[in-house]
Amino acid sequence: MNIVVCVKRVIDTDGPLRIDRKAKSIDDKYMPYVVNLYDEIAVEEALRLKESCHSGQVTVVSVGDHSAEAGLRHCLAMGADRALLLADPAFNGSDSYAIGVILSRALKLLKYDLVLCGVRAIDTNAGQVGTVVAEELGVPLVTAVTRLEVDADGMKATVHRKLERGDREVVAVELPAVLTIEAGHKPRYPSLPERMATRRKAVDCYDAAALGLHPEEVGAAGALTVLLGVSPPKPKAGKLFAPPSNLSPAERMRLLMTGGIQEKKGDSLEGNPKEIASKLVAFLRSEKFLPEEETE
Amino acid sequence: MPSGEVWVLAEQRGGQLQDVSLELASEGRKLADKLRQQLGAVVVGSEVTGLAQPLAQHGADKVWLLDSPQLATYSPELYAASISDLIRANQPALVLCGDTSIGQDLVPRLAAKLKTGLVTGCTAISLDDKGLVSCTKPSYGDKASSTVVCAKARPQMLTVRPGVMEVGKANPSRKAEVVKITPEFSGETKTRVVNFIKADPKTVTLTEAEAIVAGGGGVGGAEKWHLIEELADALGASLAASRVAVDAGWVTSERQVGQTGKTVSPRLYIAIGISGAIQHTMGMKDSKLIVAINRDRNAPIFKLADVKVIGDLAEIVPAITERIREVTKSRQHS
Repeated sequence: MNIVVCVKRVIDTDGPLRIDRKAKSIDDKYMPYVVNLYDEIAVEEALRLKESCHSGQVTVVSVGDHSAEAGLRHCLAMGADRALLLADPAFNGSDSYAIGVILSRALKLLKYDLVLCGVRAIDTNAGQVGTVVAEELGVPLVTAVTRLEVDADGMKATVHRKLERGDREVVAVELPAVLTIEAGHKPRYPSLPERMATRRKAVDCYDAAALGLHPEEVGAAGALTVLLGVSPPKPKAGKLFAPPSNLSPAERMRLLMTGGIQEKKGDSLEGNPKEIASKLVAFLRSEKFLPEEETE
Repeated sequence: MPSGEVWVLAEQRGGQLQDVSLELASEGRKLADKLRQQLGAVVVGSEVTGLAQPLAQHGADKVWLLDSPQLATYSPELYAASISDLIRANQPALVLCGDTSIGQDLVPRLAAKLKTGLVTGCTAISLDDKGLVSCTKPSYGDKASSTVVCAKARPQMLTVRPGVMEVGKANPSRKAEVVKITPEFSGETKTRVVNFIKADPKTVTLTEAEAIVAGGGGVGGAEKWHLIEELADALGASLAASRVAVDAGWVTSERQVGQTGKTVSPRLYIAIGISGAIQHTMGMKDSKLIVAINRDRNAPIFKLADVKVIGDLAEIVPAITERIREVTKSRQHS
């Protein structure tokens, strides 16, 4: 089973984020970079699949300048067999669509049964690259995968797909296919010797010409969307809370300390437990949490 | 010929129009008015003619019904094929869709097929004089907000988070032209849904749960905790707890709601024996409906509650559980 995982190196959004308000961009000086969480989970799933069928290769591929190499080396340390870096000045300014085109060209040069992508990158939050890759390659796609099994003959995969409110859909898909990974096993943490061992491993580099891409197909020229700017999130309009002046100072103080939660005018139920129960159940029925009353 | 229209991809599940579709119809109406264009709405499903009317009342001038038994439930390949054909034939300038599990899967497929720009998960949109839409969306783990435009190709496509736009007032006399199309499909799809797994309330992650029953220190002891569990079980709700209950060891910490636990926003939250300290309420205050059961009528939790039940939980909770069991049982027998 040959598996290719598309990975992106992103700013670690766990820490504080510095935004340059004038330039309307992220100030990434001194910011730590990591492999996008969903991509890392995809690498873990790929490694587990390879380990369970005892054959094949896991290849990781990334678009970016030479700093993206660090992300690829992290994946090599996790256990990936081969890393491909797609780097060219012409790729600058690519959006999700252009990145998807670049990745799909590289995939056409590789042998694969399965392509895994993270469901979305935590920086841009777009969730489109995997879909563009599948469309360009003309292979089936399943998005938001939370669980993944491949048949023994390697012809078909059965996956769980995330829906709303914890529901899942089980989908059977013919291989080769593209899957975007939403959740899975916890990514393994490479040990220091594993990291050291990858320092001298080769990362293959492809530029636009090697992929047969014209400069106008990719980068800012090929992009279909343009990022106008990044700004701090709009502060939520907070309601100024003034406790009613007829209350005692102690009571007013208490209201302020609770954050001035506005009181809801809810119904009050009191008294006989049986009566309370039937009133509450009737309410839950009217709100459709319980089946409706039979009409006989 | 490009029509320049504004389109909304309406979403139905089991023949029910989803709220986000009316939100987008209302927002689409405003955009269409600014552009002096018609607002089109697209409904995909089986026997969905009845859904044209609410869309018309919320602003649609024309409703396209892609109606076929094969389209009854969401099928990525068939939906994407039939909608992209419709868009190609009519060339709207702008297409809006809800950022739901269906929208997140479908719209990137449409954009990739049509080779056009898409911005996903928008929370605000604004229009310039040339009809270019600036989309604002949360990014970098909600720590920043990005503004993106679909610069080149048409239509401009965007998905909008549900609950962000407001549903306008329905105009009952508004009518729309309804065009019904029955697409034909040949060949088999490469992906096939083989099963649907309803979330198990007992194991579902709290942040994904639809209804939550939570217990707190007021429960009074490990020997009474089963009351909370039984109610959750009868109601088919997920079990949660305040920090007091977790620290007392009545329940595991992954079920904790509040500042040091999880932040949840289910459709129903029943707080039992939880006084409502701010450390807890900040984790659940965005729940849609809150029912509080507490002995202390001055408990702060009642300020948040849509239904306040004042009394001894040891008497009231079993009564509710029993009543729910009666109701669901009679249903099963019939």
